[in-house]
Amino acid sequence: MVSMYHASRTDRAYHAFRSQVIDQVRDYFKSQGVLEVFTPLLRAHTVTDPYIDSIKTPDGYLQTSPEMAMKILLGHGSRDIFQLLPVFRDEPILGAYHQREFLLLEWYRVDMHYKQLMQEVTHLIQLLCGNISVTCQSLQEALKAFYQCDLWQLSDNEIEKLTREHIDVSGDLQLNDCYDFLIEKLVKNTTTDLVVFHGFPKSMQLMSRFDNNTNSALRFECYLWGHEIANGFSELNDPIEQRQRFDNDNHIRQMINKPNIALDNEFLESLRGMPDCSGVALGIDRLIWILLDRAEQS
Amino acid sequence: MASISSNDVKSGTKLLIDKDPYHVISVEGVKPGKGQAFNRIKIRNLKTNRVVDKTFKSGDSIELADVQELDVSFLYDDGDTWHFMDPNYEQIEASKEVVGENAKWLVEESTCTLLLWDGQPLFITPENFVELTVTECEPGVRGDTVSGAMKVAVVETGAEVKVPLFVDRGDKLKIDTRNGEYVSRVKD
Repeated sequence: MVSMYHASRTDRAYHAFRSQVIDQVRDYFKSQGVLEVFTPLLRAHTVTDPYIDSIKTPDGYLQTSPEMAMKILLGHGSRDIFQLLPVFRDEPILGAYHQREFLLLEWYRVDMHYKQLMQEVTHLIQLLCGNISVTCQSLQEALKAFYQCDLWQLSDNEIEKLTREHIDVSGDLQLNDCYDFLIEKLVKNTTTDLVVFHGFPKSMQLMSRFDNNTNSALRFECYLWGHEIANGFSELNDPIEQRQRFDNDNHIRQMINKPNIALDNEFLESLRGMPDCSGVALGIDRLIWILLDRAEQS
Repeated sequence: MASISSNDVKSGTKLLIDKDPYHVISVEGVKPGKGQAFNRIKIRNLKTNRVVDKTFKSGDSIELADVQELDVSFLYDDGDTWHFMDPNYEQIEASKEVVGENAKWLVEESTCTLLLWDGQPLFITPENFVELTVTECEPGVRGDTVSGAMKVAVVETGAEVKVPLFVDRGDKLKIDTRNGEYVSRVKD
């Protein structure tokens, strides 16, 4: 057991290890010709995600992710870019890997399909974690193999029924709660060190493009030793569709008594100029904490 | 009835779920990056002792069970009812079902923990170690303190305990009630 969260450590050894990982990340991106950028940590706008709470200050919101600010840069002609920055979230639960403030790595690759970016993320995680095993599977196939049914063919009610059969959960369940529970159980029962799932259901598309042929969102998620570590998309660059998704988020917010988030028009405008690209966010602090805990255990 | 937010549940909290009292063993908070936070709670049913995992969404309210632990001393039993005295010298009666298997570790004036649910005795936990006198066993073999061979002895409460060969009738033994195993001989 970890008696104290790594996040609050003050010893030099911790900071030396963290610095070493950060150097590796910077070296990697510089070798690939990806430009390091710095976007504001405090902005007038923030994300609309119903289950991400921002910390509000009198001068704006502390950023929960640099996604919108970096897409504004992409819309203004930036090509491949990366950023390492502290982000802030008003987390309902705090824990060893859940902190209000943590270092995030986010990068965008222009003219790259999300499956190529998925390869790059896997490569970078292997670079940082050493020799680890990896499985990469479509989420639809992985769920089908584990729960013995194709969730893409089930109605929302059938998915809720399946969830309650497999997980003892009380209270109301939204569709995405069901997916979260089912995916979490699936990941916990996978023995590979790094698990990558690609192709998500429409209700979990977030800011990714949606592929009507496969009926899946072009999104992937990586789980390192059971912990969610990275989330990437083929990025949506249709401002009209994006605005509808924001409105939908605010609609859900209203239903769960959370404040409405004003839409970021500067961001929506820049989407018009944003090239086709893929982007990903990787919780670099979480990766560091997980590595430290594993080193301690072995 | 008092309730608690699932975010405030800690190990040791006593919860009332589907009308049964539970003891919380551990709590794990999970927050999917984009999803709703939830708490996975490992709980033990205080009536059946069964351990289960339950998932609650963050902030969901859960009823608290009115469960109290009392240090009591055992007075006597009449075969159907076991009589205890609480720290305020009040007598408490517990049925055969409540005392259950643990009856075999109780002698007069021994102390134990009585768990009350809604004011009613739910079960008793004897002290981890009790000292009991052997009433029946084959004669002790002198000098044999190393062979490791065991025999069965009956102690004053009727409990059967595996003991080393040197143990004799009238010996006082220290016994671990959690596994029913002999620990040592006690010299008076």
